[in-house]
Amino acid sequence: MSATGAARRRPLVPRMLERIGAPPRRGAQVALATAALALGVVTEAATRRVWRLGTVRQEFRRELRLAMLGGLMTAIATGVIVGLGIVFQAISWLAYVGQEGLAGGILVTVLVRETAPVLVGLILLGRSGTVAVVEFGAIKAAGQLNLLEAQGIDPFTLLVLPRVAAMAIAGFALGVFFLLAALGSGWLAAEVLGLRHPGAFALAGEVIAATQRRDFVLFAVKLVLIGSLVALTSAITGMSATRRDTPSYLLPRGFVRGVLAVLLASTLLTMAFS
Amino acid sequence: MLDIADAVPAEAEESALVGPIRLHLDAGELALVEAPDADQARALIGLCAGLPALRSGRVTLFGETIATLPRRQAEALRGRIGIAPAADGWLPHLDMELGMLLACRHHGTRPAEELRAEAAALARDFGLDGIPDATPHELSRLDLARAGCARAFLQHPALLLLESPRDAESAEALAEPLRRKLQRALGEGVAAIWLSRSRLAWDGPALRGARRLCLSAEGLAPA
Repeated sequence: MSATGAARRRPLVPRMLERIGAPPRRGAQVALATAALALGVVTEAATRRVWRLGTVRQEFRRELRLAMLGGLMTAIATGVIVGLGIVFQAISWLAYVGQEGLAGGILVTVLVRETAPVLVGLILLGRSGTVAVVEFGAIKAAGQLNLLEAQGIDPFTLLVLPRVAAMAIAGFALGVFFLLAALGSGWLAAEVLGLRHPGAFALAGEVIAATQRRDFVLFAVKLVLIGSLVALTSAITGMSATRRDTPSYLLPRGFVRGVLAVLLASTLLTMAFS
Repeated sequence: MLDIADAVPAEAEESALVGPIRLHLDAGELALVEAPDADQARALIGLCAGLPALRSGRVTLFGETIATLPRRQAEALRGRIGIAPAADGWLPHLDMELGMLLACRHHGTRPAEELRAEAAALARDFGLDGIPDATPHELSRLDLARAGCARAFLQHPALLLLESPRDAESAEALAEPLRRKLQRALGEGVAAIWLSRSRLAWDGPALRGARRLCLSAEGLAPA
């Protein structure tokens, strides 16, 4: 009897329960694997031994360069577009109702705390996370992970740890560029259209004045965590690939997991810092 | 150097080998293993490095039972193994130079210049012009196999796990330089396992004294 035939003859209820239960079980597995890998990164990255290895430092430099160079122009361009949308809208509507003094507070809430981390996370996912999914998938499918281990090289130390560290740093750096581009373009649009907001430095001053210490912390923590999660979910998706899994199967899966991780991390951190 | 005593992988359903596997190699000894199945050959390489968890038996590498060692110590021991897989074996995002020097740089502190010079000389011994200035996907299978052999012999490993390419043409092109290098390494006290799909690669007087075995899912048997 073939395997498919055997499956068909199983009672309906267990089959239905299996179908219903499979996605949540897979989700829980991925969440637990991500948590375990994150714990491993934190404990391993804290040791000096790892960073003394030239191979690990080289991987870290490569990943940081790729994440920064790949994402910088996209982050700036997205920042400009978001600036025109959100910053300019905030300035113009507040000017219309004579409440320009509220601009700083609104921009901090909308842009600094929520929009920037999520959009930068999505940029990282698109530019670096998908590359990681394909690379890890190819490495796993070719049996290269076992070969590395047979040579005494821990794939986690060589490939995962530097990528997570690099994307965490890149996340924060891209977030800063994104924010500068958004504020700059919004102010410029307001100036050009004659809304007469009192100068770029005044807008920046209002935003900084409205930013409390916990907003600064939230912004940094969100971006670092989101960058790390993008790297972790991409690594797990790629490393769980089988020989049958082509990029056309792995990429959508990695994308969905990455988006969920970015949104969930952002929401939970916002709630935690409220 | 290597002692595999009745080793049975713990996850027999997932392993290409169900065992029990027995193999003992002392310094300067060579085992020629006829391995028609690529998955079984790869599984034997993993077993020799002490990678899979075992349901029974043990793998002793350089006098140490690998399963009982802390992770870092086990990794350091494995750093003394030179591996030339039949296919793949290269990280796609590293160029050939970085790929060839990766294990040596990861485990040792020898200057990169010295390693590069040794790798280039070994690459020439195996028929390349030197270290290929390319990424793995730009090279032919034969050139990748040549570079893989050069990498395996780099920095004088104590145990060699060599696998001939699965295609006859590449296996034939590599057989002579491999026999030559292997004979010299064995004379220096290196232990080696050479897996091949066909016995043709082993023809010639150089390997006459070697043990000949045949690999199947059930284990290793005299050929």
